Amino acid sequence: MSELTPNELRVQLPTFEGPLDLLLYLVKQEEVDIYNIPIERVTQQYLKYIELMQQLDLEVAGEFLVVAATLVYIKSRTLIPKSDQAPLLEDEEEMQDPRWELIRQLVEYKKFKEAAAHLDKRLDYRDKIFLKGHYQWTDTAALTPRKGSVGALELMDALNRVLSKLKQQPDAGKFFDEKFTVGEKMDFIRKLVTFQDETPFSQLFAEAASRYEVVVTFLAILELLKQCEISVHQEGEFSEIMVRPRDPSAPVRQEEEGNSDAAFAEQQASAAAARQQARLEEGEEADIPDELEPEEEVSESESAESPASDEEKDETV
Amino acid sequence: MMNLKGIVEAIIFASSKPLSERQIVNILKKAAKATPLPETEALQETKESEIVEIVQQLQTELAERGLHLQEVGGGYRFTTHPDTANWVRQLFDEPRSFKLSASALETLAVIAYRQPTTRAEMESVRGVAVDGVLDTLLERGMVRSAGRAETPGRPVLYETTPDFLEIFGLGGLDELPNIDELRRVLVKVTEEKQAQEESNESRQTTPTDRPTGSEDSTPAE
Repeated sequence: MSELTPNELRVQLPTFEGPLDLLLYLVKQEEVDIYNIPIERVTQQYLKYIELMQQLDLEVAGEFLVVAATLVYIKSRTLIPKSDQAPLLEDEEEMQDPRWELIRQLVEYKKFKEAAAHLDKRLDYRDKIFLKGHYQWTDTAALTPRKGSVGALELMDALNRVLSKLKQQPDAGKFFDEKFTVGEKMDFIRKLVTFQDETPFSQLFAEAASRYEVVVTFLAILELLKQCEISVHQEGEFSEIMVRPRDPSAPVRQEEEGNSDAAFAEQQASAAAARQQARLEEGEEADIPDELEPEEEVSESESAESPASDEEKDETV
Repeated sequence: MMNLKGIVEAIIFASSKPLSERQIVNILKKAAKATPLPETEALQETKESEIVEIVQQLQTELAERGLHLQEVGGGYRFTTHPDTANWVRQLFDEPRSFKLSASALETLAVIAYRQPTTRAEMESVRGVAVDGVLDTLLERGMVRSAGRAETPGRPVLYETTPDFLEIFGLGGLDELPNIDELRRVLVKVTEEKQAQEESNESRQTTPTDRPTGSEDSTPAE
């Protein structure tokens, strides 16, 4: 894009979300009924547009070419006398008109595009209203690490310490079944963390026998941080990082989000399953705001286990 | 003595999330148990329909005020009035926007109307890959994975979250425009739909899984 000459820049190309978007635009320009598309004219213009994209050195996505091929195929079919046409494929039988499938797709896409426009309006509205003192999700300000909080580097240091301890163990280097998932580890950490006020970071790895398990545990910590179920704190430089169940009234902090996105993508499925489960369990408690609970401050995750866990807590404090 | 209207107003105001009529009724009952006084006990038999009426009254009274009582995600919450945005915005250092790109909105629309749905269906409706935008939606907490379909390849299913309803100010999924028309899978996908329904059934019988579909939009009672 940076190499565009001023001459090329003068061409005003509307941007399209995909081939269907472009097709819809062309149909609209022709001012014809969507159910009665003049395939020949539309195909011509469609191909012209793709040519233009190529001239402008815009990358023509494969999807645009697929639709171009479909259009040409439909056009070619209409040129051949019916008797000479190849027998229709099984799934084409009910649609005598080869345009049908494309039209169906177009009509459907058009509806969703309209629905998207409607959702967009609702976001406009959402941008104009404010809730009491907090946002629905982390804004950019909250993504910047704050003083006294634990950032990605500190977490990495802590992880390295755990990994180096692992090397000293005689067991390290042996093979183990890869039997841990991020979801299971998240459950494990949830239990461990709600058991006491503060859990040292290294304690979460106490049982880890393999590098794999350490990594999975670490991913689980990141995921829980992202879900705002736990928070991490560090008293001073080089001191142990402490993990706490997140105080529901504290502001949302998600410093680690940016660094761990790639890892999350892979683990999304298993982690999400665990998250759902957790939400389901919390759902019953989350029903009524905390302020209304007669007991003193009990966070949502803890209240599931109270009063037994409260007693345990008192001992450890 | 405070009347019911004032109490309902206070409860909704103090809550950190939207409250439904039923939750408000439950709170009134709970209050009578926790502090048994004539005034709390007088309200413990309040009906949900009465709450609805009171909320409507409050909404009318607030019409010309800076606060707004919004119905969202099956509950009520206080927000600032949209017409005050230009001023209220100045409270915050960072500009805030909920806006999504056109491709993210289209993808979100497919998920919202067709949930639970697969990546393949989103791509077939839109005619383009959805990888990047789907990640954005997941990150923003507007959609989440809803298990896997029992179709070949066991693709991940996606659905919208309760946050989605809150952000878009929807009382429930049935408030999406044209929901009946768009929800139905027209031609061709019938096989897939059957498979999906079967998988829904099997998933509902598993105790560890959440039920799917529009029930999700109502908070657990």
